Amino acid sequence: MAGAPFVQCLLAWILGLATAPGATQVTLCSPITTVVPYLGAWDGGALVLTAELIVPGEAPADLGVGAYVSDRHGAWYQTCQDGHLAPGHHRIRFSLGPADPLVSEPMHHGWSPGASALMAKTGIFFYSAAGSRTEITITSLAVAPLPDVPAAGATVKRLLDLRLGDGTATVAAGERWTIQVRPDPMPANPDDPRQFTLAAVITGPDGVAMRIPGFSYQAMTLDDRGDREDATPHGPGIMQVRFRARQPGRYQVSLEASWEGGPTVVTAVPALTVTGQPWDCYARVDPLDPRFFAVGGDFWWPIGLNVHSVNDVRSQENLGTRLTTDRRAAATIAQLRRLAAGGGTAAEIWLASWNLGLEWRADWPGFAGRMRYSQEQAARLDAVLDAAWALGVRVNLVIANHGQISARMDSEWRDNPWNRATGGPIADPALMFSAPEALDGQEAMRRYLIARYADHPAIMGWKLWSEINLTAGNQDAQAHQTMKRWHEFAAARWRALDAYAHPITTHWAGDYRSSDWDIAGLPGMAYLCIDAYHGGPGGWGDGGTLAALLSDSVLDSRDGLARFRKPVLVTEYGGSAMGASDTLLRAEHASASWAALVSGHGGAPMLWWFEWVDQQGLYQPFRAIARFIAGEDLRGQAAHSVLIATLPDQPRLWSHAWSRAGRMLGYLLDTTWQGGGSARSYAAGEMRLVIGDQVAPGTCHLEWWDADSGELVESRMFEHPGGMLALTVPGFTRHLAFKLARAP
Amino acid sequence: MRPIFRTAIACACLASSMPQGYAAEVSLGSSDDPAAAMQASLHALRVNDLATLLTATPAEAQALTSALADGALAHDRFLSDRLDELLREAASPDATAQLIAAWSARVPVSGSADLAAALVALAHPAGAASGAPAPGGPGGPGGPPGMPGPGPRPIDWRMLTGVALTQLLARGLETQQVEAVQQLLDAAARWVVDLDIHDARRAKLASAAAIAAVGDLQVATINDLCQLPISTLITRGSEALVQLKALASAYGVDADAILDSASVADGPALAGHPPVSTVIVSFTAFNVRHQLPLAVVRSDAGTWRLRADSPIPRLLGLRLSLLQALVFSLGPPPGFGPGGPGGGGANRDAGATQPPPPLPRGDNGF
Repeated sequence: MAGAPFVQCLLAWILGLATAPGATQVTLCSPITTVVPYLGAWDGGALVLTAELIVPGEAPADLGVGAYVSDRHGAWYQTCQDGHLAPGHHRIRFSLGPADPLVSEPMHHGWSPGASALMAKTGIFFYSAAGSRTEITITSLAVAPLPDVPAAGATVKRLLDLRLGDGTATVAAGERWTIQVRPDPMPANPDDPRQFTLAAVITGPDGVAMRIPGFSYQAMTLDDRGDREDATPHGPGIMQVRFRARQPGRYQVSLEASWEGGPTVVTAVPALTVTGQPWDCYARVDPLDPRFFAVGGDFWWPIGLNVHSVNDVRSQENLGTRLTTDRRAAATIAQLRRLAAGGGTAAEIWLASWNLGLEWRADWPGFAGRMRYSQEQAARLDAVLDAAWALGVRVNLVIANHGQISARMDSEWRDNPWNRATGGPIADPALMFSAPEALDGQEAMRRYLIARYADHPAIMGWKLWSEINLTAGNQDAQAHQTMKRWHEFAAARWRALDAYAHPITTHWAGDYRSSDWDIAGLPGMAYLCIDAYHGGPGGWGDGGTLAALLSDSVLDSRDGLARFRKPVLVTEYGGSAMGASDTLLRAEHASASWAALVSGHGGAPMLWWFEWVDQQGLYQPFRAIARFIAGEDLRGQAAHSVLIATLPDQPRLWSHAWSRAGRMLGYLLDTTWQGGGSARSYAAGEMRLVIGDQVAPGTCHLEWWDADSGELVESRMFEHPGGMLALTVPGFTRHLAFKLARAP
Repeated sequence: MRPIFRTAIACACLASSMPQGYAAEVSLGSSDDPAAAMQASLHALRVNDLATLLTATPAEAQALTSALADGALAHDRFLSDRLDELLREAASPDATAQLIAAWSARVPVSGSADLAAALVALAHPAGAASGAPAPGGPGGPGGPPGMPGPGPRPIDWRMLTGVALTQLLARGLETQQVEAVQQLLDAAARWVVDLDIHDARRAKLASAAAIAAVGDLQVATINDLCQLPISTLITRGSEALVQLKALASAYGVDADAILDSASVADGPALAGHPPVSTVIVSFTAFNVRHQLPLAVVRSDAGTWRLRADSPIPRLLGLRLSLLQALVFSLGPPPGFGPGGPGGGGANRDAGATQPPPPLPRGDNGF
């Protein structure tokens, strides 16, 4: 048979195939793999690839051929033809469907219907260990849809490869426990609840059953390359359920899986044993004083920064900051580490298309299109939340930012996968609040986010929108009603799906006067997020200071948000929306938390200009307020903000206090300094603070605190005889804080 | 337009003189038999005797006085500001005209249908029942499509009735209570859909009654009210209750007839340690006979109180008290304007910086 290749070549030459019109000459570049992409029309998905080729006699003896498919971003799966290609004419055929045995190279993650559905490129390749530049003639290369042949066993729907946690059904209270399964058949889109849903029904020792949704999961390794972050998948794509028990005891567990058009398959899972002490470290709105947050019943006043995305072009343009290298999760984690070291306990992070969003148009790197959630982005969010929790930081997680469905303001609508222009079903971004397809998609995303992240105690709350009033939904009164109904429905669904009951909020741009009371008053809106920008065109209070704006945000008798008795959280501030001078920003950054504290905000305002803070290491204000508030508790039905008078009157001082029976936290601020002007030094004894003119007698403990350093500068006990109580103020510059308490 | 419509709400709030949270603790008397105690309470309502309904022992009266002085009314700035405002307005010479105008502004022309639809939606949250009245007119609450800018806020019937329901729900009794309330709401919806709630004569009668009810309290501010001994407040509240019944009567709801039709029977005890007593109140309203089960618990002082301890409102995130719901529902216009995308919000004028509340007792609360 040694002469067979020669004969085949000869026959081919005689038949004219080697020079047939349209034939392609491909030069081998072995030992490197020679890739021949298919350049014709193909819509993706399962296919049959056929080719005819002529191998010349000088081709290496170990020449092999295979076919591949890959997604838009290079995830590669292949299959090889058995044996070697002898010289001569070959007709080859490859079936590249979800049931075919494709393998990924060089990564090692599983081939599945879900992966198959994402494939967008295909072709063949040649390989040899020998160095060769032989020319191979490809006379035809064609693809055709793979006939829809039901896979063997497809009529039997079941869950395979059950894996519990780390291999056991025991976990400590407060620790995550996972269930992993592989649905058979695996849906083409495991993120689409219409195709498949998985849920664990977990009945606790108290007899209360929880329904915990499952989600599609692809294990990923994140590598910080220095200039970017690579995400490498490994292992098969599976479904996972995450659960974090709060009470020790025995939990009964079963899995419910539903395939499209099929019955629900219920699978019993070994009972879970939860050990240790009861645990509940989720941030919630305090049930007794709903103006504030609590964790495990203890008062919690978040202090932090709006780390909305890896970098901020507007900050670069207006403040001259450097754009942080987009190392995605690695960069965000590094920022959180510095924030936590500086005293921060909270941060806002956006699921934006340019940050940690899970859904965007498929031709953007890392994304898979409408209703297919980016596993690498999801892994990054996992990593960020894990790091945040380890650092003691909770995340105000923004589900959507206004630009996603705004046609005019910071518009990203043109790239939104729901936009008809990108292949989606929605023509007008305003319809994202009402079109059934959009609402279904939002429900799928909601379900995914809750399934994957709701158990995480680093989630401070779900912020449905950032700057909702800048979306296309803010058009007229009727759109307003639509937006209200949207919030009502969305909040109800979050609450129904989230077994951990994280608080829910939304957010308005501008300042508190922009808030929509119909939405703010919805019971489902557990806390209220607003901006506190001022000084820009149409901005708040011409010439007013940030302290006054923060105070008015809650206490303005006409428009203040205290009326809702919900935590009010400023999640953007810092001069105007276009920034401010360095002097003004430093003063506002140093004083905003104090002014908010004594005004009754639910947490410290979050400065928008995080790169300005990070690149100059301006974390001291967080440390200062954190020291001051350590061990304090602002809650109480009668607790309220009070104006503290000065004697003699000091018009440039802003002095307020948060007062409860027997304890008062106060703050004096040089408003000229906070407004960007020069600070004045006040001498010791130059003024007195009037706590009240009818203060009951008793022993009192007074502390003066340096509001810049957050250090106690003076402490003394004194006996108050009753009547007017006026405190002599020590010398200070810029601002000063105090604590006044009745001795026990 | 001044929000004088809240006068009507003030009547409800002030006449009952309830601090926040007290609504769920209405005393039902001290008879050994909870059904008898409930019957006595209904009779007290029938004869406008709030003293019998609301107090039982001197200790409890004292506790109520303290609760009123230290409770939400005294310290909730928003509530007290709003209630002070309406007290002032109720005393103005043109109070009746203002009230009628506000009612017209806050209840769309399709008001009856809106209210009926809200009742049905509340009774059947998963979908309107067959044969239920049709939803409101074009554009629904908020007026016709395209209406720009803020306007008087339509009354949120659903929130009001929903929060009111939560004041009754008791653990273990939710199914029966919800079914009973559904029947009541359905009947109310069928009845209200034919009612002309903008009838000028009815509005005039109701407005006069509402303003008279506020006047019966004889207070100028909420702070005045909070300083009253509870016994005085209850006496005045009993007088105001007469006016509230007149208000309801203006719209065809004969409260006394409903009370006359009521009978009370013992219900099955609910499991617990000790078991929780229940009573079943039967009454005729909106042309239908209803049976409403209620859980009651006996206090250490021997009086019976309604028990509303269902976790459902909490699970649903309903944290509003009835008083808050009333005020929120009828609050100032929403801060929503025609700014549109890029408008940057700012649809209200720059707020004048307001000093914090005045010193409550000259010690800044310290």
